[in-house]
Amino acid sequence: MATIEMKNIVKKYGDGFPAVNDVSIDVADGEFLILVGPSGCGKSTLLRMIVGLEDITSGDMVIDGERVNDLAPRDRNLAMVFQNYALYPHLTVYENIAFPLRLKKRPEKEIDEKVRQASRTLDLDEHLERKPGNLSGGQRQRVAMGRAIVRDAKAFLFDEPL
Amino acid sequence: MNKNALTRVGTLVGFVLILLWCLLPVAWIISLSFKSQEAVTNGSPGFFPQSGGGAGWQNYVDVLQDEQFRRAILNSIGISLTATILSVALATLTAYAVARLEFQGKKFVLTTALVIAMFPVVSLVGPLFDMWRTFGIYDTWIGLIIPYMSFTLPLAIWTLSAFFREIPWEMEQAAQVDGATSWQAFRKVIVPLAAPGVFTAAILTFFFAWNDFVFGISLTSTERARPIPAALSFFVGADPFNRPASLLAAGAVVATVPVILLVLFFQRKIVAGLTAGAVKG
Repeated sequence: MATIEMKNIVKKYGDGFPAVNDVSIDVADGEFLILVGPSGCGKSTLLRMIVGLEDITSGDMVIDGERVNDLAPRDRNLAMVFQNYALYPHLTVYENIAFPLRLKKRPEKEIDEKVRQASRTLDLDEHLERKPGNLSGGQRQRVAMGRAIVRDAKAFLFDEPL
Repeated sequence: MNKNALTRVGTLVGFVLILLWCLLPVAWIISLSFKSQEAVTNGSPGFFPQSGGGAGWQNYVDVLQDEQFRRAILNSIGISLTATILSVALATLTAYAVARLEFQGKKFVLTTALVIAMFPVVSLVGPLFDMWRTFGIYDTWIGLIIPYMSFTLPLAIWTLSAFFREIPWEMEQAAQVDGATSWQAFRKVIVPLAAPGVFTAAILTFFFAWNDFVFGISLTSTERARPIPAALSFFVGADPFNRPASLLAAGAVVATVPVILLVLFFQRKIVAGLTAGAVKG
């Protein structure tokens, strides 16, 4: 796990509208933070800036003491569950969960171990060979979480996946 | 008879009429290909091969033993496949850029592509003939592959970009958060999901290249690169005043078979709903 420091984060879109205006939050290692607010207030945008999917207009995003403003998502080592899950529909549940590990070229044995451990935690054991299209909403949600927790990510971001 | 039954009968009649309209020429050419040359030239031979003297498989044997025809099949397969593979590969990359990126002149690229696709083929034959002879690619495979690609690329780009737009962008972002580079996200997530589009584009491209006659006849002069449609028109037989209609028919059937096989093969890959279950709701 890691610390995340946001210093005067601002996000302005093309039309000059500030979606996120001067946010400064420190999240300590192991801390559990929930953002609550009306729709359109910038919760998702802030999460997407932390994980690197959205450019930061001004301010500093610091993870574990390192400024990550210009790092690509893959170099930030954060895990995220998307609002709409964004599962890979052409892959089985097993391969969905294994995807981040395969990208890291982990050995097959380690991948299998970690996937099975995650699936046991999330009660997905009997669905491992199924495709997301055949799962219920709750099952899809758990697959999305499985994909996040198999990794040794520095932090886990959940964008209202309920 | 109530209205419902009437509609059903009407649908059925329409269905049969369309089937007849489409399949009669095919049935006719198949029947023709089994007739002997004498049967064809002796007035009206009737529909079925036996009615005027059947030839069995002899026409097919003759056609396939013809060196020029065999060479033409090889040319057609080689040229069409190369054009298809190159065209689809390029179109996939272009369509992805068009669907995902905002860049200056995007509209211009798309419109130009459409304009090119609508260009009358004949108008280009003259200039191409001249240029190809200067470049030394007249009567070569590449000399046909280039025009086929330029005519099929626009269509492929438009088809594929429509497919790419259907794929939720979150797929790609999820892959990037999972540690994928843009290229890995494209190859492991986007391309498999766009597969139906890729195969549709491949079929369209292959059809265009395989069926083309105008380029085939004007940009080739020998069997070095002459494709089947052009080669068939050179099929005069021993007596030029007496075109071997039944041999030609057999040749036409042989030329149709690869296309049917290809479509049957690709059709299974064109399934809807590949992205089902990707996102909530």
